[in-house]
Amino acid sequence: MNTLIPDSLGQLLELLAENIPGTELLAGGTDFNVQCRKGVLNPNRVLCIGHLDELKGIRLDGEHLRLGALTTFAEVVANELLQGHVPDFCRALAHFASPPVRNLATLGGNIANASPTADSVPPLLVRLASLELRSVRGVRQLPLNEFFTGYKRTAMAQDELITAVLLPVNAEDGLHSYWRKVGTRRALTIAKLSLAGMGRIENGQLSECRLAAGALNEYPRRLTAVEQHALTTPLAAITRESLNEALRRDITPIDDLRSDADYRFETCLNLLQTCLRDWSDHA
Amino acid sequence: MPELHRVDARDKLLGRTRYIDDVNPPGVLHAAFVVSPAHRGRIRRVVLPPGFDQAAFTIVGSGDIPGVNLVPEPVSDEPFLAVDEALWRGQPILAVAHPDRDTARAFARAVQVVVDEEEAVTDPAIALDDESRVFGRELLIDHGTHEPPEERWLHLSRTYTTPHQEQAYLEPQGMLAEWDVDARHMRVTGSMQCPFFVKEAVEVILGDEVAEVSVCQAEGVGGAFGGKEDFPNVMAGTVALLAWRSGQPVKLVLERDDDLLITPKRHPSRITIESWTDRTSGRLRRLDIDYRLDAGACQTLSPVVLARGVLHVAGGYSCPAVRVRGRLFHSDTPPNGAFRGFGAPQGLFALEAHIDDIAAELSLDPATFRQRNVMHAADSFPTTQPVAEDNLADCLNELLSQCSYDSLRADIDTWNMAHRHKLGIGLSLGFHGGGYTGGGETRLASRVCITLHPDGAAEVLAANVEMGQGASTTLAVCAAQGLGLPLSRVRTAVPDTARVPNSGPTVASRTIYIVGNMLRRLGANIREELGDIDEWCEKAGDELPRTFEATYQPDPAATFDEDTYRGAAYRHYSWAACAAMVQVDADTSEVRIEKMWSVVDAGALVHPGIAMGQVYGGMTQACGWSLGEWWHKPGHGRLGSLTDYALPTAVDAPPFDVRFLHTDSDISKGLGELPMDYPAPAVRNAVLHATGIAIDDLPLLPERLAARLRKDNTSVC
Ligand SMILES: Cc1cc2nc3c(=O)[nH]c(=O)nc-3n(C[C@H](O)[C@H](O)[C@H](O)COP(=O)(O)OP(=O)(O)OC[C@H]3O[C@@H](n4cnc5c(N)ncnc54)[C@H](O)[C@@H]3O)c2cc1C
Repeated sequence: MNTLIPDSLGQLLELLAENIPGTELLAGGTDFNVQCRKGVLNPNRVLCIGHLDELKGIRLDGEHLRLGALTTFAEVVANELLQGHVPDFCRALAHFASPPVRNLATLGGNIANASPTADSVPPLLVRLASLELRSVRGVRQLPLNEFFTGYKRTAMAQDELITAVLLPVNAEDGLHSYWRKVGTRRALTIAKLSLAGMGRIENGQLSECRLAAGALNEYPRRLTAVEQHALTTPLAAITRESLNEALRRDITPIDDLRSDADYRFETCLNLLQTCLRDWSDHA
Repeated sequence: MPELHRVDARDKLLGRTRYIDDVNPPGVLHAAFVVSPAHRGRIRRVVLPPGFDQAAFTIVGSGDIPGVNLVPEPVSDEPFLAVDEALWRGQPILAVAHPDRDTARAFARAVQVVVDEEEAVTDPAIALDDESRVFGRELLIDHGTHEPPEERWLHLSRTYTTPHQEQAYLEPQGMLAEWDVDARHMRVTGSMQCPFFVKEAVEVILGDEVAEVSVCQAEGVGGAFGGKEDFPNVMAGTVALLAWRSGQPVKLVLERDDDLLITPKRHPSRITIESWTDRTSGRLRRLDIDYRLDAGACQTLSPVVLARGVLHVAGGYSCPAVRVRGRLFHSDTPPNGAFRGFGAPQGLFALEAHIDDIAAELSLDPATFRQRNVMHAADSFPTTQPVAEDNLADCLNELLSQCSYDSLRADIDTWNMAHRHKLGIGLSLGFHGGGYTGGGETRLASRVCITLHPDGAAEVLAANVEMGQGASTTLAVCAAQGLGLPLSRVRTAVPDTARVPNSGPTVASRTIYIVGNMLRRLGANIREELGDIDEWCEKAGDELPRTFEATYQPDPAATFDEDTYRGAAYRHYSWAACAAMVQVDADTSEVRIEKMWSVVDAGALVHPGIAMGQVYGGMTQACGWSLGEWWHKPGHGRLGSLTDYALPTAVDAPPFDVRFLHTDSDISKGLGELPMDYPAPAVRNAVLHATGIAIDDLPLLPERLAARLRKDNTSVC
């Protein structure tokens, strides 16, 4: 295994542009090391990025909060700028893993790893986050919604990396939010399922509604059928049955060692109901 | 008593303590197991992988064993290394050693083992339901059951099950063997609970090839919980075989996933309780209990677990007629072994759940029902052994006032009417017989020594290891109390069979109860003999160092008949009562333990801080066992790593409110296992109170609860 420590982002991009198969980036290493040890990942070239200042920092950039790809979960939770603009987002990430892992794990790594259970993704999806992807060919912005293309597959090209996560600065303004992760215990756990939501209620009806679930599809995804149903139906007319029917079109939960399909489906339905009820109670 | 420091704390906090993984003598080879990939079947071929310099490896299999290929256990039916048959997935077949650890592991992983797979039973539920799988001796306790139960009594019959539990010690299994070919001396150092068991294992596997075996506990042993009672025998036998074969030091440290795959766990159980209760008096009249354990592929020490199980499963209740039938069932899984509680937690889960089920049938408050039936001094155990004290009833009464039971339960009922998420409170009682069962301690005939050194220090010599539980401190405290010396003058030797007498294994809640009490008495005898120890030492001159020895004195009045299971199964019992408050989430059916109270009688406390630590730790382990820990999921197989094994974290552990009773007693009783024994049913009973749903199978997974809520069509909303 060949391990390289590029001096700069520019040099990193050059190295990536060589398009050598089996190249992996190493950020916080909290997925990378586990996967290498288990033999799931057998990279032949490792590019360390954890030291690159160009990928660090949280700042306001016009209409966006710009979170460098190396932003750790601990930084998100403690950052005053984020706490000021997107406090519920900070709260959602506060229960990620455990303190030592939060100090290492990065947002970029969590997203790029493209696990169905990546905990930062549902809260980012409902806040309409986008990614800044960079290569020697240039920089582009991609809505997070379009980033995942299948189980552990992404729209990132082999020579690209995530350089930043962009959050609309007003992502939470005037909106209700929801986040719930269900795991096997209260901390340091992989989600059996999770649900994130942002919504606005006007005259007894949702005028904005974004919902996203983790661990219920091959990648974390917006619940578009449920959103559509919720946006077109007065809250009072949304029933458990109608949610149930829409949810069936959105998620494909499975039986595995961690949990059961029935439990996942029904719990997601329960959480949806609670989410909508909480919002309408506080409307 | 002032709060005392632990003598091992500083070095451990500073990272100075050396665990076996830190010990690398020059020329050490690193070992790895080649294990069976199949649950069961004939081993056809073992193909060594190409691409390695095979001359650089030492490789041993069952054919290389000069002694006997059976691990010494109460029933020695497990081979160190598989012969022709693979008995479980993960069974060691070969052991390999190489100077580079990663190369050894990669090589072992690459060895191809071809097995003619046969049908295997790996699901405890299937194994425990199939009476053709019974093996080993069946145990029967039968007391007062000649009269048939009366028609008018409430008759209830239910079956309860519990899963595997992984000890999950912080430090995986590890062992080092060093061979002195000239002296034919095998020196073994490692992570273990029972140095003298390990010594025997090495003697057995090497037979006449070895003239002397000495075994020493590694300076640090990072937790054990029973998991380092039996398997270190296999570890030590294997590294000793490799060291003998290669002539070099050999060390084997298991990777976590291998440790999970290969080593023994807590026995899954299936326990059916039939009870008869007088509806008018609310008194238990009769219990018929079918107690089953899944032993795995070999019996090893399971018969002893079964013995403790049948002796605890009737619980701390007065019942005139009790019949307990105990049996081991075979499955194609690793032999299950020792784990804190040793058969008692399974039995007490079933019994204490059943107590709540009876109370519910009688519409009696579970506390009232317990108070009516709890053991008192005039009662006897199902073995006919008289109960010596009212201490369990004392624990129960103290507990009820400690948690303000009546008002708390009423408040919860009111709260639940107005809230979606439901609260509940549940109770349980427990007890644990100290030391080996029956005549075990008499047969062990433990010996301890105290040596007075010229520098005025006293040294405790005993075979009981410090594995994190605090024994190096508490044994010194016991000796110091007897000698009348300050703790700073007393130290505990690191157990080394070459230096210390055989005070028996570090198991069965016996370290303080047996060995500690012996040291206290020996210390007092020394003081009586010598008078003022300081003065004597000053005059003694050449007489120092001087060693004093004591041997365990059995109580001639306390006998136990191992054929009929009558008599004094244990000389002393520790007692406890527990309450758990839970919240059941309306959306997710997750159970959160909000608080746990416990009142414990373990007699005089040698070290209050360490005693409290034992209770917190044991209760936390019981919380994990009750809520989330399991190893096998029907249709999906086993967990291959701790990633999804829901060991409780610090935030999963509830606040504990623990009190000790009868600490002015003149004896210190067993405490190590007790706090694991009884909390799980309190959690189950609290869930019953919260939701009206009685879950009879551990763990109380939200999936199980949600399915029952669906089926019963009651909603917690
Ligand atoms: C004990 C433990 C607990 C955990 N708990 C959770 C949890 O609760 N929730 C959860 O979601 N995850 C959890 N994880 C998984 C992991 O911590 C997260 O996914 C983490 O965010 C990964 O970030 P990292 O910086 O460590 O990534 P790394 O391990 O360094 O990299 C992961 C992958 O992402 C790629 N990558 C990294 N950065 C970039 C980039 N900027 N651009 C493109 N590709 C990149 C790497 O090539 C690699 O393939 C846990 C892991 C551990 C070990």
